[in-house]
Parts: sequence; structure tokens; C-alpha cells
Amino acid sequence: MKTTAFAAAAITAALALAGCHANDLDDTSGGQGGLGETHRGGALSILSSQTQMDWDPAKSQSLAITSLGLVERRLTTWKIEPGAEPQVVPDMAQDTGKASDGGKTWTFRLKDGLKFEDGTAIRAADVKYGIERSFAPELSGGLSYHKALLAGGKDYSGPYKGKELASIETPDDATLVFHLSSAYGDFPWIASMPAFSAVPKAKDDPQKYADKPVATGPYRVKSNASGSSSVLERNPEWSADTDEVRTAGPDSITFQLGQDPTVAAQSIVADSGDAANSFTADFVPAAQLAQVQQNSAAKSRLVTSGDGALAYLAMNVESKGLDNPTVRKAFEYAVDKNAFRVAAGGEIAGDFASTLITPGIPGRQDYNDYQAPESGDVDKAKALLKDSGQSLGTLTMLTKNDSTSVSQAEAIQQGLQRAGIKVKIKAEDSDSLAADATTGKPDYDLYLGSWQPDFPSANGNIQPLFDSSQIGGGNYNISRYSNKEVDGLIAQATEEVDQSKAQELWAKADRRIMQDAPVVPLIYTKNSFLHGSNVENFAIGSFPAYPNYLKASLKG
Amino acid sequence: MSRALGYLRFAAGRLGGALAVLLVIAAASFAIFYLLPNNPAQLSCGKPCTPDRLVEVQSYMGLDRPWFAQLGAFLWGIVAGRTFGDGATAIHCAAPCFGYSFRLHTDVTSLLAERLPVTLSIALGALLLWTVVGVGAGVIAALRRGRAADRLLMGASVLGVSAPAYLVGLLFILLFGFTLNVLPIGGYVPLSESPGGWAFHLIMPWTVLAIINGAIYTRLTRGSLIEVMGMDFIRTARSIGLKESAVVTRHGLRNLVVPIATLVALDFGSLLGGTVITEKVFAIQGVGGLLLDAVNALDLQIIVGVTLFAALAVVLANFAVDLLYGALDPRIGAPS
Amino acid sequence: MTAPEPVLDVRGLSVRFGAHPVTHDVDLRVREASVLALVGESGSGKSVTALSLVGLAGGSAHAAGSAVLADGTQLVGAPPEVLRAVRGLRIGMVFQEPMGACDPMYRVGRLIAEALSAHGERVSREAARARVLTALRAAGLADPERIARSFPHELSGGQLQRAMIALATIHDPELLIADEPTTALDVTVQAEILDLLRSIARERAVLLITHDMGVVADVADDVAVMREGRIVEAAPVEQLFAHPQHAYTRTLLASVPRLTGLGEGAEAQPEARVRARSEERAKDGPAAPHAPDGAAASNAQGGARASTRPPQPAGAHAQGAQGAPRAEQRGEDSPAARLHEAVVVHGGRGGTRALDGVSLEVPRGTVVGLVGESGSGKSTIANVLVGQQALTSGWAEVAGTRVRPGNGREQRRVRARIGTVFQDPAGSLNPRRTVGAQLAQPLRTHTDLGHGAIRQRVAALLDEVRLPAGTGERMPHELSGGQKQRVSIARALALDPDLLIADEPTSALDVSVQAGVLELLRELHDERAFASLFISHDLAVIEQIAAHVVVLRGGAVVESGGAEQVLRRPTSDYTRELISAAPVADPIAQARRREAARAH
Repeated sequence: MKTTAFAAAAITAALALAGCHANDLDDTSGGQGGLGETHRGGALSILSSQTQMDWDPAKSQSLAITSLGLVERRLTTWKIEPGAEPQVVPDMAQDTGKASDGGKTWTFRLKDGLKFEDGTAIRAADVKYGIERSFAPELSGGLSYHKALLAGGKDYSGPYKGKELASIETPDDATLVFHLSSAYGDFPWIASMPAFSAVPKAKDDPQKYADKPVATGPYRVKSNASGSSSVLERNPEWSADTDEVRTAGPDSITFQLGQDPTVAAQSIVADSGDAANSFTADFVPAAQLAQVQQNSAAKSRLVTSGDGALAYLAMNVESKGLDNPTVRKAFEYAVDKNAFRVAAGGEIAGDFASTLITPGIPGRQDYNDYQAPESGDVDKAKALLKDSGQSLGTLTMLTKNDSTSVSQAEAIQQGLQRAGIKVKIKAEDSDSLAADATTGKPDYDLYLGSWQPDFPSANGNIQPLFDSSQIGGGNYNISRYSNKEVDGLIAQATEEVDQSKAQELWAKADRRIMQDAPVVPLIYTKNSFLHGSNVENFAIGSFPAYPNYLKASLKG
Repeated sequence: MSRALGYLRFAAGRLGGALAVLLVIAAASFAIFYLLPNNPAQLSCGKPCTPDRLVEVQSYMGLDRPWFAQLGAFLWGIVAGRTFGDGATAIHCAAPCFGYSFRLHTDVTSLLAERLPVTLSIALGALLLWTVVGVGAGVIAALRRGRAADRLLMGASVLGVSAPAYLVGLLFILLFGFTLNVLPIGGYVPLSESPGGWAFHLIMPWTVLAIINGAIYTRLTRGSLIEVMGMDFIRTARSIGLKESAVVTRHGLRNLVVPIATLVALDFGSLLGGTVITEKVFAIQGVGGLLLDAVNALDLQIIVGVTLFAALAVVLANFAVDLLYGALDPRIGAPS
Repeated sequence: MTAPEPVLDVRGLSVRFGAHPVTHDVDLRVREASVLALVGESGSGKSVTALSLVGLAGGSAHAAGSAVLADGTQLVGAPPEVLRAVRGLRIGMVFQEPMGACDPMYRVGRLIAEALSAHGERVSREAARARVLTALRAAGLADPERIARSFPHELSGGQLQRAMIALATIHDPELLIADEPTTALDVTVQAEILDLLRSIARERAVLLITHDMGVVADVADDVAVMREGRIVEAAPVEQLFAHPQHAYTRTLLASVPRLTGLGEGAEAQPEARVRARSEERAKDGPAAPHAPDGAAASNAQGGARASTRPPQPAGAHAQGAQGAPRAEQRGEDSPAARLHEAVVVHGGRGGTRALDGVSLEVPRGTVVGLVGESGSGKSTIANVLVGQQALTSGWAEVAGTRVRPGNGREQRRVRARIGTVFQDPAGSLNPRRTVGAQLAQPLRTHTDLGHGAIRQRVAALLDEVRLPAGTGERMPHELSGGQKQRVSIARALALDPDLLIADEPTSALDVSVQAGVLELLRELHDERAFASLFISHDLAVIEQIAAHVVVLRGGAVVESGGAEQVLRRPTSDYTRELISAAPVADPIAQARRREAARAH
């Protein structure tokens, strides 16, 4: 897995906070803002702290509903609307894929009349080529779930050395057949990832494609100046008739790059000039969040997500003392979740968590195996510790070294102290933290972080954090949790093609894991964004905790 | 030995020293980077990243070789250019090759060439502004020594010296960008595109840098001018009946040219290394922004390339100062 | 010479800085075509008087009284624009230290041209150039083109002072104020500049400010003696020297160190000197309780001095380049300092030879005087001995140990055996530490004395240099120049050195103070019998203290031998030239010597 995304997930908890009572809105379906008629026209600006836009689908980790989704269509995409569960829907494909061979083979047929921005027809081979090039080390860095799934993907290193990937077949110009190494029920979600875009081989220059991709979506890249801006204009060859999710309201969309989040938020609060036609791609910083509470005009333009990433305390089940499940259960009671949330910014920072699958993910079942007041149940924790007969030394807790993370860590530290558990905090910058937690020797006992799945399936909540294959090697099973039964459930759920059956299995895995208590779920974090007064259809669904760029438009 | 020959030998000696400094800086930035526990390949590996994939990316980026071999290849690339990868996707980076960013798919030399005009715009304008204002204020303070104007300027310069750029920048944005709404809050317009827009967008960064750095010039100018005005040759200049204004400019200020020019050259050198904070606050992507991004993304090639470039700028500035001395102060010839 | 109207008529001029009065009721009359010398020691107010005439005494200076030029122009209280018009045009000025008085950034020709155009006169470039060259030539510079092209640092002090005189007289002013114009110059150069001033004074009035009675005797027509802001005596020069009326004038005349037997005024010496010393002692700080004036006085008698000096070893003389000094048998017997064939070349091969094969020896217990003009290599020798200058060839040793640059233990130990006293006492003392702390420092570094012992030693040192016990707690800036130099001497002697190097120790001091410091050195030498290398450009000073004299020129030894022999019966022309260039504080004798030199 990738450290930046990981870091971003950690920052989610850090930034989407600030001690203030923002929206009293408390619907668990999550999301805010509504969708209405889309007016066509106008120039929309998106203010981003990123300094360059990389439009190469092979290297992208972009969500289906954000930047790259405006330019490149994939086989499938996401239908994200407030108040509704996220849905995988056909994009370039006619459906979300037909499984055969028990979920090991997936077949997609392209819609008729799809064209690249230059007018040439999109063929199955273009999609196959697009996927193949994502295997090249030159273009590594994107979402890579498919690389392990596709048969032979492990040994394939891209088309530039003249080899094709045999597990993708294109029997005709409209048909794609994927052969997987093992059954995978969530493959329709995988087919929504950036690599499943179409790339014409004739126009591919791996060094330059990031600046000038051949567009298939409603917009094409007009200019891409690193450090200043990236401008999208309408792609005349795109047809709304074949696209059920993109509304393509604005005539142009400009990403203003390298914007300081504080300054960006401030300018949208002021709402003058171009700012009225803009929204922030970054979370609103804590100070501005507080400021907006005092400003009713700006407050109406603040959009806060529903419950998003899971903030959790991971326990290294291999370290001495914590290898005893009774001790870990004591932690479930000893932790002061309320103090943690206060440190994270209070109510607007998120709701208390008890499950591993996050709200908004289809099939989530709410439960709480460790019923306790929000500030914990110290007596019970002490009793459990006594039962275990274990004596704990001073435990090392890894966390990020920004002030919010450290104060959160201190809240945890003080909570555990009440039950007589001593904790030493080791705060590190995000890169060192990722390295120490996911690679090399596990020298930590506890780890404080957060996690948001890359696609709205419980698979994304469970498998990366709790599958025994995800221990070490840069992967995120930081608890180093290994349970054959859980591995079996994950394998079974992963291979299940029937989504409702799969969801049952994931929910079962969720509860089974929590019986072993490898982590303490703390809160489901929320993110806040600001938009200008002329921006509408700016909405956040129940998943992901980001606005849906594909729907945003300007008032007439 | 003739003066010119002496100069040449002196310059050659300095150049040799400068090259040694740069070599040490390159080696040090490599070494420091490799002491960090991070693996840059991890960032380019994708999500999820399998160990096999990581090894493949590492070897493509050349990170599997020992650090001194990488340093050697890097340094040789500056002299002779180098090629990354092989086959159809091989990338040739022509000399002087300051490295190649796999993240941005661009060679560092082009990135620098792209960002340098931006930083140069900030640096030159700010430098000009603060030199004129800083020196002017210093002259006024020195000539009105002990009076209200002097005390006011000195008080202000204490504020200037101690104010953090980030704070001043944000206050300016708040005041001129939002409250008064007369200046753009950030961004950069190339000079070639619109000279007016270029200057308009740079007024605030220039001013902020000038406030912070000009104060030092005010103090230096004041102190030095007071000292110079107490020298015997000033009395001589007055004894021939020269007007006081001519005494101050021709004899007072002329003797400040060397210390001020020294400071200007050195500041210019360090400004070229990037005005990181100012660039960040005003959303301008110059050399400093390039470096900041690279550090965040563990982009070794850019980090080393930009560090070397910044060091080169400082070294060249020092070199220029040494040569300037000879040109500006007749007493200082080439040391033989 | 008998013009009725003086060129400058100053009456009742009083200058104060703020509320602090500096001069009181000064009367001066500068006659046409004559030199009025305003004489006094530093702080007497002579420079302030002159500078206030043209409004250059400083922002806070306030003058009252009257100063009128021949045409009736009143200078006191005149608006700045009037004074500016007078400066350069009607009153020219020449200052001490020509190097400091020239803006180093400009060529000399450009500086003079600037003076030419300072009053709005429109002069073509060619005309200006011609006038600059003429003025330089008139100032006695043989190669005016080269001088005009040169930057100040490229010229010698004498050349530069001539150029400054050209600058000051470019507008042919009726009055030239020369403020210590020769003080910073070598003695032979001084003589030339004084000649020039004398010739200038044939056409205009000159107000010469000086502390040097020899200079006064050489060029002045009239003299005004100033003390503590008042004119104590004013008279034509012959009259003043022959019959000094005021006690202070007599003191001044008496404290001038002079080459005995050369100046004719030798007869009055012993008595005058004693008095001068007593007065200096009174001024410079209370006399040490155990050293009554009488003792010092008797010690200072010519005969007593000679007898108390240790006997001079037969071989103790500096040797020219002709041979190495004999090797001594034991370290104890080795001379305090020895140079053998010492060569110092600056700037690599073909560079300038600062020392060119110098061999000399400072025997234990002997004061060797090192005489020469600037650039002769005097200070280079001192630097070699203290390890600050490497020899290109040859060797040097102190108390039997070779000295070389570097900070090895041996070298540090050698250096602890050397005490040094420099010209500028202010520059060699740390302004931020008390005198006592500075005296204690070498003791703390080089001895294992305890706290109390060090304090006792510091007190003893202060007593030895005749400073009051309380001086230890004071800061250097609270002391007078003479007192500071006494502290320097105490510090130099703190470790009881084998060798004392004194580099122009009295040059920066006023004559009367100088006499006191010289006397102190002599007494200390008599008491403690250290060897000393005494460097000076002033033959008279050397004569007073040195048993042996070495004359240096261009890095080589010109002449050496016993003081008596070298100064009275010099064998080299150069030594003779040096002796004759030193002005004698007697206008008649000086005039005679001048005639003789000219005839020569």
C-alpha cells in the first residue's frame, strides 16, 4: 500500500476536527448538501494544495468521483448521492461485469459509440493496453489491487518490453475477458479504478501522458502547468447519453494548484470574485472551521461529510503481554474515547466507533461488543487485567508528530493510565511512521492511526488491516493479527460473487475480529469542505468522505 | 605578476574550493537521505504494494545500488549526462543532468529551468525593493541619529528582523487580499504573458520579503554610515567646502558600497535556493516549492539536484562577492 | 612680514561642547606669510580651536567670541553656507594621517579635482587636469601624472601628504590650517614636508597645530602655547625658546627627548627633565609610595643611569650580515634573543624582502634599540620573535629556544617568556575587562598561583608601574593614555619575561607623558634587568633607553653598535641623515642644522 494515501488517511483524523459544534446534522447515512438540476456553463475553480496534477491513469490513486473521473471513464464507476448507499454502476461497460468460473473470470462489453477526444472509437484493446501499462515500473504508483488479482500479473512488467498480459482477452473490439488468479466478488469495484481507463497505444508516451492524456470523459486537459494550474475544457466527443453519473455542468474546470489551505479557505469564506465559483479540495483547517461557525453566510457553504475514516488504536498482538486476548479486551474498556474525540476537535470530528466496517459501506452491521461509557469503564479494564495475570511493562505507542495527533495520543495515554497501563508516546513524521509501522522489525506495542478504504466495499475495511497476508512488507496489518478463521472468512467473502452473501460474510468477519480485540475502534472521522456561493450540487455521499466532483456545477 | 594573471590564479583557486564544497554537499545530501529510514520506492510503488513490486520499482529507480554508486552516477551525470532504464522507455538526461524525477517524469535540470524564472522574479524584485528601501531608511536613520525618525526606523527594523515570514505573509493577504481586496492573494503570472499581471501578483511577496530582509540592510547601513561619517576623510571632504549632500553621497555612501554589495550578492545567492515560506504562502511555485514537494514526496533526485543548485548559487554568489571586492574597492586587488 | 592687518584675528574665542567648555578666551593672530604654531598636548584644545574656526568642530560644538579674516568676514557664528564658502576657498586644511584623510575609493587626482569644483566653479576636464597636475608638482611631487592616477593606498605617507597639501591649496587660500601634518610620518619625510610648509608660508599664512617642539622650532615664526583650553604664552619663536615665561612652556621644552650633543640646548637638561617627570607623575597618577620623586630623579641623572646599568658584555652587539653570533655553551648563557641571517620574503618568489639577512643579538639584561623608518623591517623582527611571522630562511631564538609560528607546547612556553608592549595602549587592552582581570590573565594561564597569590601579584605589578592600588578595579577607558601604557607594561612584565619587546611604546603619547613612561621603563629595567628590544623611529627616545642601537633600512642592518657610538659618531650616511632630519627643539640650532643639511 502507499504511504501518501496512508498519510492522507491519518491526516483525515488530524485535520477534519477543531473543537466546535458544527452541523447538528447527525444522520448516519452521512453526507450533506443536495443534488438538483444542473445548469450548464461557467468556469469552476478547485483550490488544491497539491502542486501538480498527474493525469496518467496508470499512476493515479484518484477516487472515481474526483479529478481523474472528469477526464477518464473506466469500465465501471460510482454512483454517489447523499442519503443513498454508494453503488457501482456501468461506465464504459454496458454492465458491471459478468462473473463466471465461480468469480474467477469476469467479462465486460463496451457500450456502442464511445469515442476518444480525437474522435476515434474506443476499442477493448485500448482498455487492455491501459491496464497493461499500469504494470510498468515506469508508471508505478497508482491503485494496484488488480495487479495481484489478474492471473500472471505478478510476473508482468508492462507492455513497453513488447509483452502482453495473457489474462486479459479481447475476443473482439467490444469485449474484455479478465482471468483472475482467484475468485473475487468485488471485481466490479476494481474495474472502477483509474487503471481501467482506455489508452490508445499510438498516442502513448509514458513520459508525457500525465500532462496530455487522451480524454474519454466530459472534459479534456487544456493545459497542465505544474505549480500553477491545470485547466480542463469540454470534450466534444463525450456524449451524456452513454454516461449516467457525470452531469458536466461547468464549461471549464480549473485546478488552482499549490494553494495554502488556510489562504484557500479564507478566500472562500470571503467569497469575493472568483472565489464564489470555487471549492476547496483540502479539508478546511481547524482555525477556519472555528471561524466559519461565527459566520452564518460562510457556514451555509460549509459541507461536512458523514462518518468516514476509522480512527483506531492498533495493538501489536505479537508483543509481550498484548499477545493475551484478555489484556487486549481490557484495553477496549480502558480507552477514553471521549477524551480522544475532544483532542480531535470534539463532536464535528466524528462519531464514536465500535465496528471495523465504517458507516456508509453497504452491508455494515452496527454492534458493540464492549459496551461501556464513552469515557471507558476503568473498573472492568482493571478486572480483566487482573484476570489475565499479565504484568505489562511500559508500552511504546507510535503516532504522527503533528500537534493534533500528539494530543490525541496523550488522551489515549491518560485513559490507559487510569487502568494502570503505562504508555510511552513515540511521535514521528508520516514517512518514518509508515516505515516503522509497516516494514522491518515491529518495535512498537501500540499504533494510533486511521483508515479509509479505497472502494466502498467492506473488503476495503477488513482485508488490508486484518488478513494475515498483509503483515509487514509495507502492508497495513499493523496489529500483526493472524487468525486462520478470519483469513478463511476473508477469502470466502472476497471470492463471493453474490454481494448480499459477501456482505454477510464481511459483517461476520468484522465481529469475529473484534472478539479477538486486535484494535480499539475510536471514532469515525468527518471531513469538512467549503464552497463558493455560486457553486451548487456540491455534495458528499455516505462514502467516500469527499465531495463528488462529477456533479458539482455553477448557478446560472 | 600582472594584476590580470593574479586575478586568474585567484579565481582558479576559488573555483577549485567551490567545486570541493559542492562535492561535499552532494555527498552529504546523499548520505543523509540514505540514513533516513524511508524508502522512496515505497512512494512510487502503488497501493497496495507487494514486496516483489517494490523490488522492481527500486531497481528501476536505481535505488538497489549502494549509495556511493548512486552518488557516483549522479555526479557523472552532471558531467556527461546519463540514461535511466532501458529499451523503449529508456530516458536520456543530457548533461548537465542534475537527476531525473520518476515522480514528475522530468529531468531536474528542466524542472529548475522551469521554476527558476519564478524564483528569480521574486528574488530580483524583492532584493531591489529591500535594498532601496532598507538602505534609504538606514541613511535617514544615520543622518538623523538619535532623533525621532531614527528611533522610529530602528524600532520598525527590530519588528522587521524578528517577524516570521509566514505571519507577515498571512497578515498581508488578510489585509490587502481580503479586507481591502486590492491585491491578488497569490499565484504567479509569467512576465512574458503579462508584465502588469506579473508585477501585480508579485507586489505582496516582494513587500513581505522586503519587510523582513530590508530591516537588516537598514541596520547595516545606519551603523556603517555612522562609522564612515566619523572618518577622517569625511572631514577632509568638508574641509574643501563640499556641500553636505555631496559629502554624504560621494564619500559616505560610496564607502558603503562594498559591505552592501556583499550582502546583496549573498542574499541573492540564497534567495535563488528558493524562498520556501513566501512561495508557500502566496501559492507561487518556484525553486523553494519544488524542493518542499520533493522533500514531502521523498524525491531524492530533486532534493539532491535542488540542494546542489542552491549550494551552487550560494557558492557563485560568494565567488562574485570576491570578484566584486576587487572591482568596488580599489584597496583590494587580487591577493597574489 | 609686517603687514598691519592679520590674515586671521581671533579674539576671546571660547568653544564648548554642549555645556562642557573646552577652550577659554583664546586670542590668536596669524600674520600674512608666516607660520603661527599652536602648541599643546592632546586635549589642550588646539585642534578644536582650529576646527571651530571653519565649523568643523562637530555638531555639538558651540563657539563664542570673534574670529575675523582680513576682509572682515566674521567666522564665529557665521551661517553654515558662509563657512562652507570659506572652507577650501579661503582657508585650506591639512590633517594628520594622510592615509585616513583621503577617501580610499577615489584616485588622488579625482579628489583634488573635486576640491576644485566644490564651489561651483565650472572647469573643463582638461583645465581641471592641468591644474591638478600643476598643484601636485608645486607640492614637490616629481611625477604628478602617476600620483594623480594612483589610489591613496598606492602612495607613501609623504607623497600622500604632499598631495593633500596640493588639495588644500588648490584654490590658493589665504590661510592654511595644518593640524599635526607630520605626526604620522617618518622623520626624514617629516623634514621634507616641513620644508614644503615653510615654502608655502612664503605666500600665505599658516596656522600649524602641533605637539612637537622640534617641529615648532623648525618652521614657526610665532608660537602660542595652549594648555587646558587657554593660551598660556604667545611669543615669537626665538623669544619663546630662549626665554620661556610660563612654567608650562618650560616643562614642554624640557620633556622633549633630544639627542644629546646634537642639539645645542643640552646644558639645561638634567634639571628640566626632573621637573618634567615630577609634573607628569602628578598628572598621570599619584606616585607610588615607595618611589619618591627624589629617587626617580636621582636615578634619572645621566651618570647614575649609566652606572646602574649592568655591565655590557663585550660580544653584545648586533652584527651585520657578516657572521653568525657565537653559539653559547649553556642555555643560561644564551642571549635573550638572537636572529641569524633572518630573511622574510612576502608574496612568494620574487616578492618583497621584508627582512634581508638580518643577524642581531639581544644580550641578557641589555636594552637594544632598533631604529628605522616605516618599512625598514623593525616590526617584522618583533613579529618573528613572537612567532607571528615565519622566516623564509635563517633562524631566530629566544632564550636559547628556536621560535617559529605554530601553537605547539614548546612555542607557547617560549612566548610566555616574552613580554610585549605596543604603540597603541588602547588597542592592546580589552575594553570590556578590568585592568586587574587583564593583569591576572597571563598569571592564571601560565602559572599555578592561587587566587590570593594572583591578587597579590597584580597589586605588586600595579605598584611597580607606579599606578595606585585601586587601578585594578578600573576599566581601561577610565585611564589616561599614559596610565594605559603603564598597564600594558605591567602586563608585559607579569610573567617576569626574559625579553621585553617594546614596539614604539611612547609614539602615541604626549611628550610629557612619554617622558614619564620612558623613565618608568628605564627604572624597571634597572630593577629587574630584563633584556629588551626597543623599537622606535625616534632617535632621541632610543638614546634615552638603549645601550645598543641597531639601524635598519629596507630590511637590512645599516649600522649597529653602542648607543653612544652610533648616535654620536655614525659611520653610515643613512644614520647621519636620520639624525639630521630629526628636528631639534631650538629654532636657532635648527635653522643652523637646516643650513648645514642644505649645504651638504
